Amino acid sequence: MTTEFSATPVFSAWPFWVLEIDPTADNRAIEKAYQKLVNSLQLKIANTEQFMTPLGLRVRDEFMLREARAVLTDPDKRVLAEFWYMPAEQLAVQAKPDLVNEQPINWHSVLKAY
Amino acid sequence: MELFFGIDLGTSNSAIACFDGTQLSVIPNSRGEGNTPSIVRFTEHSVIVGAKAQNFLFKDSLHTHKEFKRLMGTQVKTNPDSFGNTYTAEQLSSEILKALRQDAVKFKECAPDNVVVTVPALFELPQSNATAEAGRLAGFKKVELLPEPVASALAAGWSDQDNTQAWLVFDLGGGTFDVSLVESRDGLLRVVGHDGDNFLGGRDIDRILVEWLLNKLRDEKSIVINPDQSEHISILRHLYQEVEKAKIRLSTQERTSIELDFDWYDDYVEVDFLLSRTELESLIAPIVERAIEVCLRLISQQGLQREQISRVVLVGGPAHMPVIKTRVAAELAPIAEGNGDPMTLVARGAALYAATIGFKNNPQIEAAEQARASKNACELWVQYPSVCADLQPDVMGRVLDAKQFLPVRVQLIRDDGQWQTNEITLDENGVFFISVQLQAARNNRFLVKLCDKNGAVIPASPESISIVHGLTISDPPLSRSIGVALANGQRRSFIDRGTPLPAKRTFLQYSTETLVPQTQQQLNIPIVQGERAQARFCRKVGNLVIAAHELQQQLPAGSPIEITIEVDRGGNLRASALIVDHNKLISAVAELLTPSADPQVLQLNFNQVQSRVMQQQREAFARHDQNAIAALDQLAKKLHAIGKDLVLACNDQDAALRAQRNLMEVEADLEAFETRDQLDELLSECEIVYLNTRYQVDNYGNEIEKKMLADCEMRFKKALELKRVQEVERLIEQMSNIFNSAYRRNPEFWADQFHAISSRIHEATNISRANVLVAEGRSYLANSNKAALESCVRQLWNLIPDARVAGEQNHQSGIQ
Repeated sequence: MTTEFSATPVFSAWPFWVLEIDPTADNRAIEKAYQKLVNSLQLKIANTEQFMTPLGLRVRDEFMLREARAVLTDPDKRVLAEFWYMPAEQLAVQAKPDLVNEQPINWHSVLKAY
Repeated sequence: MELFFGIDLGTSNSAIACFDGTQLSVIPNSRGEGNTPSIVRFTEHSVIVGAKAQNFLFKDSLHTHKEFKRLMGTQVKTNPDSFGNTYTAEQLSSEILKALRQDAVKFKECAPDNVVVTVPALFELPQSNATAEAGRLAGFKKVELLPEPVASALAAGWSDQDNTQAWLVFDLGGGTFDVSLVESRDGLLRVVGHDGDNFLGGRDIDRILVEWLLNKLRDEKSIVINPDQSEHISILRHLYQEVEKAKIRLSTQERTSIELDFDWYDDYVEVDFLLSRTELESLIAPIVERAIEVCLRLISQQGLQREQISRVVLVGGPAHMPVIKTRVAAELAPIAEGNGDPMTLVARGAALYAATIGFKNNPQIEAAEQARASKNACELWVQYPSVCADLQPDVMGRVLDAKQFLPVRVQLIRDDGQWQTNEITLDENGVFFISVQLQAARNNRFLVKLCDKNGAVIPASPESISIVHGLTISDPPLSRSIGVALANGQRRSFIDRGTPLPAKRTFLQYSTETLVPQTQQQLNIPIVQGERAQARFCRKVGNLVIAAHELQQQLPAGSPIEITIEVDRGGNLRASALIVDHNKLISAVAELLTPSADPQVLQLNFNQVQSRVMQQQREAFARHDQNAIAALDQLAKKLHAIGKDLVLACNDQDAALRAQRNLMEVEADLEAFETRDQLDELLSECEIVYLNTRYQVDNYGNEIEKKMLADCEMRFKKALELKRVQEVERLIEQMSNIFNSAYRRNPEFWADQFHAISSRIHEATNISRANVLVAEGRSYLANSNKAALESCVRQLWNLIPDARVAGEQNHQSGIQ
């Protein structure tokens, strides 16, 4: 069975999108972004549960935020995310032709790829 | 003042520590000691815990219990005492926790509701769950669990603000040895890897010393004590007690005398033996050597050099021994300065962790005052980190209940008067967001000031918040992977080892049998924990059952079932199965228990494994294979230790469980050894997969797939160099995924799949349906109807399960 991850490896960069940071972020910046989003989710601040991907808006929860933080604070796992990271505008151009007919992202498969 | 509590619930000793934001202290028990022996004694009207109970261990063993931690998560109960009562390990542990909670009440005037309790790094879910349950039985409302090595590392590194460093946590306990590699980077502590030896611990040191004594008694006094003879058991127990005391004395003295006195048939023996520290060190040198070998193996597995380890944190009683300290410092790295007392390090780490997750408790008087004050104040919901490494953390909040007030602005004022935020205007939803400035390495308290539109101050609840600046820790990792057993005997991992907890994963599996409503049929989804690829070598920790009598309609074989597994930090496992076609959710986990071990079955299994090891040894000698001989020698030694536990297994469930667990490990190692040609086979498989993938990617792949394949090539070279079977397996899987991805662009993909699956319809779970689909597929192929052909192939895939294996090898799994 082909996972969505292997079909679209750019999704390896998902932790950056989920936490809304880029590869220049160090551990402190990751922690800060994580804390801010978790607190916003808990306080039920509008639109916090959504984030932008090349396929449009997706939904995030505390589990996903925690996983994203864990991936980015683990140097071995972070390498993969950094390798595939591209700025959002570039992604939209590159990814669209292939992804237009894809199924919705199965995040569990994406996470599993790590 | 907010207080944070952590408990080390140990096999031999337990301790409770408290962190108040500034001071970290171990709470003494009623005897003024930081450590409380994990021993419980029941009298007719009371329960006695600790050193007082210890005095009755041999005098009144029926009512006095020790070392029950190993039985956590099992159904094993103590023998009925004279009052007719029996106890589980959970109940006994709860008595220890109750006593520690009472110590907190006495010394801190606070009955904690929230507590962090530590568990061994390799505890499985049933054991973790039982620990959390023991906490609840003891009166704690919320219990979070933390692996012991993480707690030790946190305690030892708390005051350290140095940047990136790698440390080892060297935990030599009573029965096991655990070593963890941790890394601190930018104020965040993370467990990088873990290794250990279940056959190495303080007890082995005692065993070696007892053997030394037995030889002395035989050679110098002609007294031959046989450990297998039941009438010699009490003498042996006496020897063990005395060597343990001597071992402790030798940590501070250069030499000591072991004084023995016991009845020997018609005689009374009274004899002293002199033991020097040098002699002790040479006797236990092989144990220290083995522990250091495990450490070096872990360092090398993580791709590090010994020189890159900046320090070692010592944990456990044997860590007091000078020989351990000297050898570790010489062979690994300097001992951590913040190490302090190795016996209470774990509890101190747990208290610090309680602070990082905001597990606060308020002393009773303050809690009552706060409740009174909040009645007439504007209630806020404030989110902030209790502990953080950042000097400028964010604080967010919203108005929950304004009461009669109309708050408009908020300001946070640090209680030292040196810093304050601007007045921030609340948004239309009453939400505010502020960055605050902390003073390094201390507890920072901020007063919350609310104002209305006229600038009048409004009473706020909470009146203040506290943030401690210090090292934080990533979420504790799952110690062993959790997955499901499949009908083909394999394990599918859902949540991998090292995944931060809590974690949740969902995957789609397929049923292998047809379930007919109103029958007694049932489909099992066994949940297993462990790292082995074969499910039978993993521990079954739960079972989801889909019972036919609960179904309204037939569930054909090949039906999709969406399985979700969720684990929290309290060791709670939740699993659910969604029958997609019926939209029916089944969420009960039928069991969460460590199965008890039957000594007779264990003995049979042991004999089989032993004869297999001997066979392999004969073959290895015949071909003069030195590496194989050395590896098999290790297995034989482990079997020897298991054999000793098996002797005790009939009367000692702890020994039986230990034998069962260790035998499973040895069996898995032996199986890996027997299939040691596996790497060669894997390499040729890898080559075939690579060539096929290269062809598809060259012809149909996109740039991304080309990059990924190039990455695989590099990793393959490294895996080959290091002979890493698991890495090669992972690469094969990854290349197969790349192959599939590129192959799907091949115009002949679905036609090829159809031809392949059609040749296997005799294996289908529903042959008549498969025949119909094949006939349909042929017509789609003839008409070049690609979409219909794809759907047809997908249905055929679901009708043809993978090869199934005997039920006991797959935990009776009904899914694929």
